[in-house]
Order: sequence, then C-alpha cells, then structure tokens
Amino acid sequence: MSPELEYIIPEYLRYWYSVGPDKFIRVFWYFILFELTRYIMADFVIAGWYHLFKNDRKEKWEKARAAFWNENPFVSVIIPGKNEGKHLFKLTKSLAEQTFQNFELIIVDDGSDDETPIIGRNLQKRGLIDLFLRNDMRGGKASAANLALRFSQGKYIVHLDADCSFDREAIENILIPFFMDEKIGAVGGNVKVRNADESLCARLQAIEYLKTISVGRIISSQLGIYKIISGAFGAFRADVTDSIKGWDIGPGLDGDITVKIRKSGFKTVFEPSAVCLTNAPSKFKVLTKQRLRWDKSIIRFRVRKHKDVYLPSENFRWSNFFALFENVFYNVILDITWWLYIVDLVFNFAGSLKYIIPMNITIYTIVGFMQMTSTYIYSERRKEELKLWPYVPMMSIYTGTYLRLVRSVAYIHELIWKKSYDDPWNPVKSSSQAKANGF
Amino acid sequence: MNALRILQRPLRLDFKEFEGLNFAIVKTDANFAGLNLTKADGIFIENESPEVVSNIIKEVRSSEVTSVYLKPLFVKSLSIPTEIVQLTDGRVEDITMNKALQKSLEINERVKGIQADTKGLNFSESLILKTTQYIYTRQRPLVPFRNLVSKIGYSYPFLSGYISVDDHLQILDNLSEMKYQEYFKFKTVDKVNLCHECEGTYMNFREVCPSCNSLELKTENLIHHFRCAYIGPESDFKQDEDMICPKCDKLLRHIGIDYDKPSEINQCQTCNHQSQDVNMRASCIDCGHDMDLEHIANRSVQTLQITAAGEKLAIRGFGKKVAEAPTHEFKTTKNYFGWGLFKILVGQELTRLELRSHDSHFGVIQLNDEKFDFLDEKTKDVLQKEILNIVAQYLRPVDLISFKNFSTFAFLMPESNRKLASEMKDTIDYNLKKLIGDNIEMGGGRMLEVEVMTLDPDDHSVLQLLE
Repeated sequence: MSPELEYIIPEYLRYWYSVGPDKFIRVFWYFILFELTRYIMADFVIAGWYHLFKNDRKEKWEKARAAFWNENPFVSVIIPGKNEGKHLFKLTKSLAEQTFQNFELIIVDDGSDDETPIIGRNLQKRGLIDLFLRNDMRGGKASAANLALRFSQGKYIVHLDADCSFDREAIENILIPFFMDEKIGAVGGNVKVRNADESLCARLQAIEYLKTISVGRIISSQLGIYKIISGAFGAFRADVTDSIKGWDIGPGLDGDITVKIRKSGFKTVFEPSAVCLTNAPSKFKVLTKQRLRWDKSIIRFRVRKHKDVYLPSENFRWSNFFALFENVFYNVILDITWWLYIVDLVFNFAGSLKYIIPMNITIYTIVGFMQMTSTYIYSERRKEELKLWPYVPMMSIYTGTYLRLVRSVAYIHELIWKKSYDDPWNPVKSSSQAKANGF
Repeated sequence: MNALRILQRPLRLDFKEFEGLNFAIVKTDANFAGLNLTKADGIFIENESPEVVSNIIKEVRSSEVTSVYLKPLFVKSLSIPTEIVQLTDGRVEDITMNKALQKSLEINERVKGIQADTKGLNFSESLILKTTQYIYTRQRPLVPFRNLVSKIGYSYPFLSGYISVDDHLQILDNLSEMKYQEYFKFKTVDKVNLCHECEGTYMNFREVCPSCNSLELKTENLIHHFRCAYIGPESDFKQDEDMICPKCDKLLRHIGIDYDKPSEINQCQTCNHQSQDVNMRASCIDCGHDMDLEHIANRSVQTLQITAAGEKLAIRGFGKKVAEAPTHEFKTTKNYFGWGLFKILVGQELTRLELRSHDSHFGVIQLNDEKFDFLDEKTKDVLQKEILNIVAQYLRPVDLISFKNFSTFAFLMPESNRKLASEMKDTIDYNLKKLIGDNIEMGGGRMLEVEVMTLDPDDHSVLQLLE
C-alpha cells in the first residue's frame, strides 16, 4: 500500500486490513451468521427467483384478473377505529377513486369521544358511507372489527385503517390473488409511509417499511411463511373469517388473525402492488410506545397463544411452524443472542472497540444500501423513494440499536409481567378477561 | 255580508245606553245587518252560538271603515269558547261592566285620532294597517294564542276575526314581509312546522327505515362479549332462556363482567336493512302527505308591538300626510282623561258627594270659537296641547282634566274648598290669557271664559253641560 493511500484510508480500515479475515469473522460473527444471510443473500436469491418466474406470474395474474372482473364480487370494506372522524371524508374520497367499486363501506366508531359520530352519521346520510355503526362504550379494536364483520354482506372483507389512502388499483389488486389460488384465505396489502418528509423519525420508518414490509413480506410470501396481514390494509375471504370467528382481543390482532387463518388450513399471501399509504409516528416517543405494543404481542401470540404450532399434532404444518419460528427466532432469539454478542465484544475485544464500532457502522451502511437496491428493484415508486437514500447510514443506529433496545424492553415486560394486558389500547374489561383466560 | 253595505243600508237600530255610552246590542247575525254601527260606542254580542258570534265578529272586523272595524266589541255569553272571545275585546262576564266601558272609551278616543282606512289597499297593506291600528287603539301587543281550529295552530286576536283559519299562514307571511318590518317589533313565541302540501301544522313525526321508509322497525341491543370480542345483536346470543356466545359458546352471566350492551341496532322488517340510524319523517294529519323533515316549511309565530313608524302608519295610513292626532300626546299629562271617561267620573263624583260631606268643584274653560277660526289645524293642535299642559300644572294629583273639542275644556277638583277653587279659576284665567295674548294676535273682545262651580249632588245639570 502506497504511503499516500495509507494516509487517505482511515485508521480502522488499515487495522482490519492488517489483522486479516479470521479476526473479522470472529468479531462480526453475528452479522455474518444471521444478518448477511437473511437480509442480503435471501433478498437477492428471492429477487432472482421472483424475476425468473415473472412472466409465469404475470400470466397467472392476468387470468385471475379476468376471472375477478368476470365475477365482480361484492366486497365489504370495514374500518373500525376510535376518534377517526377527521379522516373519514378523505378516506371516502380516496375509495371513490378506486378502479373497483362494487363494495359497501362499513365504519365502526368504537366509543369515540370527539365528533366522529356526527361526521360518520352525516357521511352516511350523504351516501358516502353505507353503514355507520357506533358503540357508545369502547370495546377495543377487535370487537369493533367483529361488529363490522357481523353486519357485512360481502364475499370478501377488506380491513382498512381510517388514516390510510390508496393507489387507484389497490383494492382491485388486493382481491385478485384470491382468484389465483382458492386456498388463499387472506391477502396483505403493501403499506408505505406517506409522511416521510415530516421528521427524521418518519423518514427512518419509511426506509424500514420499504425493507421489512415491502421486500421482507414479498420474500416471506414467496417462501409461504407470510405471517402478518397488516390491519392498515388486508383482505379476507368472508367465509374464512366467519369460520375462525373473526378477530380476538389484541394488541397484535392482525398478526393473530393471520396465524388463525393459516392454522385453519388457508394460505396467506402478500400483494406488493396493492399499495396503501399511512402516516407513521413522527416522534420517537410515540414510535417507542407503538413498537413496545407490537413487540409484546410477539411473545403473547407467537410464543404463548399459538404455541401449538410448534408441537406435533394432527394439524401440524411445516409452513406454519417455519412462519412462526422464523418470526420468533429472528426477533426474540436473535435479540437475546445480540446481547450475548455485545457481552462477547466487551469482554474479549474491549481494546479494539475503536476499530470495531466504525467498521460495524460501515458494514451496516453498505448492507443498508444493498437492501435499498433490492427495494428499488421491487418498488413502484423508485424515484420518489430516492430521497430516502441519504438517511440509510442512520439505519444501523435506528434498527441495530434503537429498535433492538425497545424490543428487549418489550420482551422482558411481556415475558415476566405480561404487560400487554395492561396496555390502554384495549379497555380493561376486555384485557382482564383475556388475561384470565390466557388469550 | 259586507259591513260597508250594512252601513249604506241602515235598517233597524238596537241600542242600549250604559253610563252615557251607546252600545249596539247584536243578538243574531241576521239582526246585525240593520245596525248603523258608526253611531255606536261599542258592540255587545248576545248570542249563545259560536258560529253566529264568529259571523258577527267577521262582519265588524272585515269592514273597510276604520270606526267600524276598530269598534270595541264584547261578548256576553259564557258559552262562547275562549278562542272566539279572544278575537273580541273581552267577555263582559269576565271583566266588569265598568272596565268594559272604560276600555271602550279609551279605544274610541284613540280611534278618533285615526285618519286612515283600508279603502283602496290590497290585502297585505290592509292587514298591516289594521294590525298597527289595533295595537295602537288597544295599547297592547298583538299576542298570538293557541287554537286547534287554526291550520297553523295559532290565531291572532282581531286578525283571526276576519281571516279564515285556513288562511292564517297569510297572516304570518304578510306580517313578516321585509317591507313592513319597520312598523313592528317582533318577539318569537313559537315556531310551527307546516306541511309543504297543505300548509297544515298537525303532523305526526315518526322513525322509519332509512332504506325503504317502512315503519316496521325492530330495535335490538348489541351485546359485546368481553372474553372473545364477539359483538352482535342480542338474538345472536339467545338460546332459550340463556345467553350463549355464538363465537366461544360461553354462558354470559353478568353484565359489566362478562358482557355489556354498547349500543342498539334497528332491523327493518320490510326490507331487512340494518342500521343504527333511523330516518325521521312527518305525516300530515290534515292531508295525509308523507314527507322528509327537510321538506317541512318552518314559520315563526311572533308577538307584535308597534314601533314609532307603526304608530304613525296606524294614524296616517300608507303614504298620507295628515296632521298628527293630538290625543296620544296628552298621555304625558297624568291628570288627562278622555271625554267619555271624564263624564263618567264626574257622574261618579256627584254620587259620591251624596254620601260624603266634603265639597268638590268643577270648572269649564270655553274658548271663543270664532276668534280662533283663522288658525290652521296644526296651530290649533299646539294651542290645545299648551292649554292642557298649563292647566294641568296647577292641578293637584287627584284632579282631572279633559276636553270635548278644540274650544271646550273641563276640569274636576274632588274634595276641594271654595278658596282653592277660586284661586284656581284666577290662575288659569290669567295664565291662559297670557298664553294666547303673547302668541296670537286676536284683536279685541273676550277670547276665553273660565267658570268654576261647586258640585251639588242634587243638581245633575252639570252632566248636561258635558253632553
């Protein structure tokens, strides 16, 4: 290496160059073993596979599309929520733009204490909402969704969040997969962040959504282990939701219902072309609360409620086993492993941390850009999403540290104290019953 | 029957005198045709039939002659319903005869000052003019009253006497017309909903299915089972006497612990539409028309008081410029009473003197009419007002003053001694002569005479003087 070049290259790179690959693998074993394989290799292998069968898939899609329009099924769009009145008019406008229009719109107001009932009734009177139902006493999101389900008449149920907006073909595209395979019981939509410009917090989530929801779910769907249909945008066969008797008490009820559908023998798939935009929390405080709730539900549902998926039984299916195992392994087990890894670094390489930390940031940034490249391949909004690229280097802190810390706290809370039952997201009357009955 | 025609064709008079006032006694609507009402100080209706009484009221109030349609009108029979009595100036049995007489005197005094009638006016102008004149002469607001017979549910005193109950909406619409707003002060006492087909106010409001307008709605409680988050109508849970959750098959035992009832749902038994909302629709009792609430016409029912412009309209009418009647200006002189009432009070004082030992004095001021002939009407009005005010200045609070016409004034000093009466005579004489002398060039001769006399209970000639 020439002296000039040595001068330009940072000290920590020279260090890693001099110590060789053995030490690199020893120090970054966690990254190489778990993250490189999962997030990079899998991404590109699946992307290649996806592209390999692109034409085949396109042909199947067009056939299914023709069958869909030929049947033109009646669909129930249901939107349960509390204090969502301010979003309802925009939502009806967004739905009015849909290419598919043969649906009824059912809004359930779960005990709102703002002007939602006035707005909802007014929109119903004006014919913009087909059925507005209100519970004077809040029952929680599951009961609100079940109420909508009870009065829905469609062959398919599309569940939305009120603060979302949709691409014009979103509802059409989320329903077409049902016509590709009759074993499909539910389809998840592609949820993206609308308010990325609002704050750094929202921008980082926008990148996270692209990687984990858009690309991550394409891959898990391709592998047949797709295990969470977002509550913001998901479609269900009405007969399937009836057979599993709708939603159970949350939080985390969207993941729960997906597992219930899978356990009843139906497939769940992700449809990337069914795009829905939502507002992500713009403050870290709000985001932390949201993620604590989500992460606690992994323990509550994936580890406790649906533990039968891991055990041999008549209904045992490998796809369900892997779907949940992958989820629990990559979230819970690797989270614990990460802490062990940190202990390993601190005890064994304390003197080298000044070289390890910058290298860590460097490799995660490189990986981050590689992942962004894969999202670029899949995305229908490539150019618009380019503005997120400058923030990719910050993702190693966001996902690698911040989200891991939040996750660890959530797991401890749920594993030791079952804190999810105390979450104000659900009314006490429901949570106490769920806790007493072990749901 | 047209009241104007009655006046042009006087046939038979049936008058009765009460305390010096001539009242026309009308017993039937047929007999009524023969009365010359202009000479009556008021009318007493003596008939038991509400229909006949209503006809008579209508004949009087629909006249085009001011002194007829504003005539004090009283009902004598107790059997006449209140909503008809309210169209008159009262039921004599309800108020004392004295009050009726006093009321008549006051009304007639004000009617005298009115120079406008409804001739040549269209319906709406006539209605406005009559309304202002009624309020002005009765000195009280026009207050609507509830009336089941009226199509709008309300009637108005006086106006409803000649406008059919089926046409009462015209009263509301005309009174609230923007161009007449300056004449009235309004106070809304109620709002009525009117059928947009027949304008009737008797409507039945009921809940109907928002989809098919059917009345066959079944309302059920929604039940939320906490344990499994199932929520549905009560009938989903009913199994014989028990409540079993259709989702998790658990027995619902305890409201608030196992379940609650967060709301209700309506199911239409005709079209099966389910909704928490119902539509309100109205059905007109009169014509049977069924309508959405937004198609119902709304009107305000208001109490009316007249403004200064309204008072002017009452006196002068639309577009006429006449001298302002002086009578109402004397309202500020507390001692002033109208001539008819003054006569009654003088008569009562003579009666009182028979029982008491004190003296009372009576005075007359007589202007030499011819001397004032050259004055115009306006000047005469001003002069008359000045004379009254000057005399009133020297009167005690218990004394009374009135005038018969421009040239004749009278005053009464109850319980007064001769000395006081004499001083009063001199004072009035001096001041009035000074007033006239200072303001009007009269030439020679006596311009006025002031005479004061002690009232003698045995001598009623003073009453003749007042005729």
